Amino acid sequence: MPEHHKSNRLAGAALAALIVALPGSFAAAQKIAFERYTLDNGLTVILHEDHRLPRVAVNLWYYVGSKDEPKGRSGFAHLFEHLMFMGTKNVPIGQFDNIMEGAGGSNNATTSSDRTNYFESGPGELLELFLFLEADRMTGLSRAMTLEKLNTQRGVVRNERRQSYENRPYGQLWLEVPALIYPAGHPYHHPVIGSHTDLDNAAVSDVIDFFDGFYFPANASLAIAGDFDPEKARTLVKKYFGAIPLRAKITRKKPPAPTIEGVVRKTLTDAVELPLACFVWHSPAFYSEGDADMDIVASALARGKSSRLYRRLVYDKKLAQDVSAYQSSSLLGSKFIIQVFALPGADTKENLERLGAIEREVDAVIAELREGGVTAREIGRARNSTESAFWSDLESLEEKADLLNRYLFHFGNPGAVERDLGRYSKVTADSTSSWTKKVLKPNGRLILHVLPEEKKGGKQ
Amino acid sequence: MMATARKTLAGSLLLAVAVLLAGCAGGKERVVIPIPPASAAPVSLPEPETFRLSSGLEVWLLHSDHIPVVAASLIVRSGSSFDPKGKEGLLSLAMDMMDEGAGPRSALELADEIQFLGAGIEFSTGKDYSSIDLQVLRRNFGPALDLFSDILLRPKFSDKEWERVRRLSLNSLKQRGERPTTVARVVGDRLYYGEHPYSHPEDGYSSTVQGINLEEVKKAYSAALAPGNCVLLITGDFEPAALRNELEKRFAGWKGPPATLPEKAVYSPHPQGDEKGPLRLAVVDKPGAAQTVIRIYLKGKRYESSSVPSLTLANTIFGGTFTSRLNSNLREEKKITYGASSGLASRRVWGHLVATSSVESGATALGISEFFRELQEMGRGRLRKGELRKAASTQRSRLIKNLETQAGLLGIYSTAAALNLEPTERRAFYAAMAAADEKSLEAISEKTYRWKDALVVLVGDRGVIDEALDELRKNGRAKGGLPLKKFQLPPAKYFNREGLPEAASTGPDK
Repeated sequence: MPEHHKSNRLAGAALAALIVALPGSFAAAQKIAFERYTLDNGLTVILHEDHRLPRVAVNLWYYVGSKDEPKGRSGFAHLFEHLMFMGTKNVPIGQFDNIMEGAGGSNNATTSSDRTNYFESGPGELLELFLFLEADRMTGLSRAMTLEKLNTQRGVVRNERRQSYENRPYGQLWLEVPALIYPAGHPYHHPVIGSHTDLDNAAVSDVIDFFDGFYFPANASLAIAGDFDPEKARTLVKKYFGAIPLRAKITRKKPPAPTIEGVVRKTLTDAVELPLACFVWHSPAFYSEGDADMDIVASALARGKSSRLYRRLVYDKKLAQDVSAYQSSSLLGSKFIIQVFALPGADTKENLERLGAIEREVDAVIAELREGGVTAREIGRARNSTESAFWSDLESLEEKADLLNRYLFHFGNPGAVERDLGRYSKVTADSTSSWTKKVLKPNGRLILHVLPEEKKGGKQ
Repeated sequence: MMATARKTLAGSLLLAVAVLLAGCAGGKERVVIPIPPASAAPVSLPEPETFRLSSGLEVWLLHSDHIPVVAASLIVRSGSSFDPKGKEGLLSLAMDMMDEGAGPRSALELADEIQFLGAGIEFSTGKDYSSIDLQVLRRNFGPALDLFSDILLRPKFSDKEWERVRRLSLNSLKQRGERPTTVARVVGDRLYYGEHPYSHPEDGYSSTVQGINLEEVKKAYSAALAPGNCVLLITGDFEPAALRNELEKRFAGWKGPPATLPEKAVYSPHPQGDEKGPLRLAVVDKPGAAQTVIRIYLKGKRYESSSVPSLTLANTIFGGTFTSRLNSNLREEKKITYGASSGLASRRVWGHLVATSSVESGATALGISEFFRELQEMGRGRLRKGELRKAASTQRSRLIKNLETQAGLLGIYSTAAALNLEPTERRAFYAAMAAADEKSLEAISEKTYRWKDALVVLVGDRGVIDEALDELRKNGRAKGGLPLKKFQLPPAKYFNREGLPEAASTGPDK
């Protein structure tokens, strides 16, 4: 679910997983103009002109994520992403960022279970620099790798783990979920951030193997968006990326679809004030049939005060402080997640009773959806608010470039706006009812509780 | 290209040497990095079209038509610093209550309708001012404006909703204590600003929120939400006269007392005046924490101070970017954190500078000593080659990036609107940044980065922190760190998660 960033400065990057939904009439009118071509070495290039401001964004996807990590190397894809900033023979350590900032550019990168993206933006005249730097590390990152560099980023990443999970309320939860719902050997069995032990065991030879295995033109796509001359851009892309040798595409086998037998239960304790009930189901893969339905189901369940779960649990029954629900979409299969923060009880016994009551209410609300699906009003609400969010997302060149790469990755075509948005106009009460039946099964889910630690000595 | 690259490369000895080595090792020709000259062309900031409605409400319109969406921000010239003593959190609660039923609609009906229009309405309370932000699809602007004006002019303030909002607020204050970085801010602000109205968090303290009643909430609303106390910033594809008509229809009957600033918010002196120091250490216990949050406060500048442009650049160098001194040292060199940064809060009457990082518990002493070393180094007032250019380019690029989004665009004008300044006051600010020279940055750095004046807040496992402080006192350095010059740590004081002294605070140091 969570993505990991090279640096935590750009909180906006976390929006990359935003799902978009537009009414049909609108979708037909909406397109992002682009040009797409492929270099001889297999690199797909997407160009999108937008001359509103003197800015350019470069966005490079590598088709590798935590799902591709070898056994005993959990967290490596993300650690590798950090290493991509540690310099090459041409751009010594530290200079990637120094040069870029010196000229007014900024950059970041994120790793998910499915892919790793690298992106930079800045004044239009930086296009050549961006392309040079990306091509340079695609060409020769591993030749300049040292144990010292690896150790530096190992330390940084282990602190990212501490900051984002261990020292964050309820953070432990997201470290536990993958192994509880995916069987050993499934590519999603471990969290993207990995374990301290595996991060510790990573060696320079792993970096070289990973680079050779995944970092080459045919396993990547390059999007350029903004204020540039397309002819010049094509020349520059050829100049810097053209000489990287051709390598055959990777063929991957799709793992069998995972299932959860019965109800898997787990209870954690954490230094928190409010008990949490978290429900997790397997759900349709990113952009596959049912994915859009589950987005709209999530919206009907928990988006805003008038949503079904919020109304029931926070308003009427006064059992909860807050609720959330979302379809967390990924390539090989998604997760549907409901989280309910309960009002705190006096002790563990009372907390457990409250979580039990919450579970009954959640089940009752899901039963209603299974029966009748979402209403036309709820569908309208979900479509309009996501249309609004879609537009706001497209204001940013960085997001636009990333979306083009995302469409290419999932649909095999960057021009998938209509196809993507069209999915939402097909959603009906019946289709949501049938997907709710298929996905939100009472038997076949994970129920996780996080309980506040028992207080000692009356300290706050 | 070649000339440009050379000029820039000459600035970096490390790079020049490395290129040479690469050349020797591979026997290949030298690769030239295509670095363009840093662009310094001034960025033009649009001037809003301003007009006043019959009710007295000022409107600043900025044109944008790149997306079929409207963004508006009602700037309310009242902030949490206006909360009466003992009622900290009052204004924030009043804002929270505004969309809990308004005009003909209940809280739930309102939420449903806002969403149905593809709209969002967000409330935020700051120390000096607050804002109520509307975002909506252009085609639904009319109906959304009906809801927006209901919320501003006709909130219901019903007992039933108040009971729920208060309950949820008290719980979210409890949750605030779970987040160590938030705790560091709450405790730090309280200790740094002391009796000053900037001292308390916008959402108040548990004890004060507990004591607030609905009547007080209504009064706070009435005092703040008056047309003369607000400015409406709006951007979208509008014809000004038509927009004016739309707004008049909804806001014509809006009345309210003329705005006055409470004395204390205007005239309160800086808590420390011009006095120096002393260095203070505040510790908040979070048993078993995997990291220690280090948060250091230094004296900053008020919003309108002429030193802010230079200080902004200096601080960009210190902790404002990925390659800043702080992040390069604590993250990339010492590898004890995911990130270290610093930022400025420049407010109506005073400001501060904060440098912060979460470091792994085992490296608490090293983390503290490296912050001090970087403060000492910065306080010497010597810029390194290329630092000013980097900071200036970064600030210029960030400004252009802000112009990319409607929210970013409005953000450029919001403080000017709140503090009753000229709409184009930022032009002078950015021009001053573009013109700043190394000398001005060095001078402001010497005055600002004075470690002996710092307030240091540490949130983490108390045992670990005490040990780290002992190590620093005993050895004058941390393991793995360099010795610190003339460095003396005072005894630490201990606080709870809302910044009140802990009973046992005199224990370990005596």
